[in-house]
Amino acid sequence: MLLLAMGCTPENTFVERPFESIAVVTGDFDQVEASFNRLDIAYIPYEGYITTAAYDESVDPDLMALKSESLWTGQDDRGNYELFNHDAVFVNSGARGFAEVMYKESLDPDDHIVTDELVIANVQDFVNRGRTVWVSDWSYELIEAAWPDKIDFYGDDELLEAAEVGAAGRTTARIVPEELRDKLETDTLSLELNYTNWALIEDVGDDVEVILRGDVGYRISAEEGWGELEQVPLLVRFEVGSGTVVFSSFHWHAQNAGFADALLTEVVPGLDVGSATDAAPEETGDGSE
Amino acid sequence: MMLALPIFAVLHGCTPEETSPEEEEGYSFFEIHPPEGAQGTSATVVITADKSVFDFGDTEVFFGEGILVDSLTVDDGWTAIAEILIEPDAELAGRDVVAVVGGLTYDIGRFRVVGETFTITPERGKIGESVSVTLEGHNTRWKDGRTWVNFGDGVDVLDVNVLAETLVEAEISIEGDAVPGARDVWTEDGGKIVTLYDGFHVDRVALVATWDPASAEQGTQVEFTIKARDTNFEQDLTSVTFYDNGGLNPDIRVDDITVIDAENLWGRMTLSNAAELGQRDVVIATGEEGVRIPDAFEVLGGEWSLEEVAVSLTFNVVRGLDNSSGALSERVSASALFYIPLDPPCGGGGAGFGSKPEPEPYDQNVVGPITGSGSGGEAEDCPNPTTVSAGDYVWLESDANVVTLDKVVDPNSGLIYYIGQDLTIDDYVPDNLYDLHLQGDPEGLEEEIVEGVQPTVPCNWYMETPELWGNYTHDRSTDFEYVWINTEGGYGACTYPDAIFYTEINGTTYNGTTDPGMAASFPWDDGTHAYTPDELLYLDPGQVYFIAYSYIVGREFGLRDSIYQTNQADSYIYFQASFILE
Repeated sequence: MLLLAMGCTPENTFVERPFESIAVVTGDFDQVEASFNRLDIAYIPYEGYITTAAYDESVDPDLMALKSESLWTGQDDRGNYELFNHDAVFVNSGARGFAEVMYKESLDPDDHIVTDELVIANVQDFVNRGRTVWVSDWSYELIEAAWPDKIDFYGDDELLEAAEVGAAGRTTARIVPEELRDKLETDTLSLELNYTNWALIEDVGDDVEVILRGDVGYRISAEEGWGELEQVPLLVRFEVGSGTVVFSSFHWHAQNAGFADALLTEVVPGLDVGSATDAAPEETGDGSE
Repeated sequence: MMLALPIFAVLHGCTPEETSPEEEEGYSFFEIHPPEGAQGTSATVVITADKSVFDFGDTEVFFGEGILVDSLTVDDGWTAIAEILIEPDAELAGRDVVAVVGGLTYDIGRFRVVGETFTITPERGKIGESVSVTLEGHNTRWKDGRTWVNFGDGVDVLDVNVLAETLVEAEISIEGDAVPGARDVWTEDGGKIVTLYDGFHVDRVALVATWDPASAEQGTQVEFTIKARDTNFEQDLTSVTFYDNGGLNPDIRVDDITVIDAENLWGRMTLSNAAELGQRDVVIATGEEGVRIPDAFEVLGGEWSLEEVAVSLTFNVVRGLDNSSGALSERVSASALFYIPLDPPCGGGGAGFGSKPEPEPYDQNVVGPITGSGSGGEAEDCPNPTTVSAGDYVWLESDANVVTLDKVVDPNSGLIYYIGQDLTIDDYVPDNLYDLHLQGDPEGLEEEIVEGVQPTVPCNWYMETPELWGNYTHDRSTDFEYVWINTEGGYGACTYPDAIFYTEINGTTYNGTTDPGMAASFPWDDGTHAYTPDELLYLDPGQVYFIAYSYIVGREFGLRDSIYQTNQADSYIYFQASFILE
């Protein structure tokens, strides 16, 4: 665990050690770094778009120096994997390497990350050593590959993208942990599921904490059309070794910024609000050439 | 977006100069979505704030007079959802929306009441999909040719068909660069725009298909295979069509399709020898599902030779009588076209001047509805054939005169043809037979004279009575008798035995139906004929056209080295005028 006794508070509790380095893999559909920018949190972006940012067509992936492949497989001169230079990795929905075929582009495979056994082993080791992995929506295959018993995603687990059946719409999500309800001063949150085909969770293991649940729609099949499910997990968190994994079916950038930022800092305690002010330029999200 | 302080604070005298930093933090931004709704409709309106403002059980929202708030649900401190009913007589204007939370009043923005709106079906589509959508209007006055529909970037509107003032069908194509999610749809009607906010949802799933081969040559039969994802191909339900920059182009015929499974098929297609060159999109449709493959393959130029050149040749006079002045207009035209006949053939089913009318039985009138192809049906859309140059000029030569036809190259289609310039009736010598003289072109056809191929009708003629202008009106219960005379001083058009004479009345409906009706005759060419009341009463009252022409076809001929030796030139003198049947 990254929980260190950095000095007891008057209540004599542990304080989460803040992340010193955060990697963000950009994706077509989510933009958690928008929260980081608002919260003045330093991070290093790795360009991981499958095609381009659906939320901002002006983004030019070619201008981003660091590519996600270097995060997953890159090594320094001494053979150390670049992944381990960070305390936390945030993988946005729509990052490449986690799908059966190239989204929109062709029928060529796009599974080079999720099928790389060394990458998966490194990610498992990364979390075991006390780091944090945060994943949203379409990048769920990373969690399915690394910790298949933690979350039961919808559909055939052997097939990539099988869980991507969620319906678009707004749902009133119930906040499950009482402590979080108290901190946010609300029992529910209005979640915007802005795109169809989001990754649906059917169930979770006993050691997985469900943070948000909600009633949702989903596509049953081409013949049967759309159906509804009650109180499915929409935001979950679990610990592996001394590290933490967080997954959301929804996109954070599509939510009301007011609660998205508050929820994010509660769910991922190591985020150091205000850290960007003193950080190097490459850690402030300005990683473009 | 609206920036608002609780009105409570303002009422207590906080001028901008006096506002403290603490009070400034009390500002909230609000958004109301959708920002408008139509009279006589209900709507779900989402109100969001950038700060936690709304209070469970202690929040009310007011939209002003004429809008009832059926219910208000506070999802969280940042989001409230109102179900509203806009009364039919609600004022057409913007209005302030006010929220009252815990005794504080917030001016949260503007909401506009509009008169028109519409719904859309289906309300979703997939990336890469072609979809037919129906728009049903509420108080709309859509009009064909004036109304268009827009779906925003990445969704191309291929066709809009206005069926009624409140009903539109549109063909759309969701391109690969379309951003998924909800998007506004709006109609443009003259300068008027009606918007349906979040009216259409582009699903994030993408229909993707690949096509093989990458190219195909004009005039060949080619096998193709399609591999796709998330499609539902079905034997006998799946079709393949081809699009170029001009839209749907039928110059490639699909001979057969074999569906292997829901995502794979193969088939054979035959490209016309005149198929448009360049890139083609392919659309595979199964029921309501359609997937488009942009730039799927390229049509390449095929081989052809001068031995395949056919000839189209004609020399005509067209006259019309102006209804208001009685002036007779006259246009004389001559044209020649040297072309490679379409293979596979196209558009051969139509009747008219392309083939000689059969004048049997003579002197007997027929009347009836016009139905089916060749008699008013929709023309087959055919490609332009490949045309060949015969030099800068060709000539129609005879002892009586020579008619020069100048070369014209259509800048859009590239079609080469020859037409006579500024021809008058003096150039049209009746009862004459012209040779066709090709100047010759080193890049095309050689110089050649084909003798005795272009005839003209036996004599020049005019309609004498009745004088069909000035809203001439004819009582259907009496004979419609007409008289035609020739310029040689006699009655008739001198047609028999080499040519024929034909007349027709059309332009109204048939016997109380919606079918167009027509009366026609090949009268004995003695200069006098009549349509009787028994015939005319089948034609419904209204404005009609009277048409008459003499017509002749020349001998079969062909260019020296061509395999096509059955070309025939034709010629006619044609007359048209309008009158009223009552």
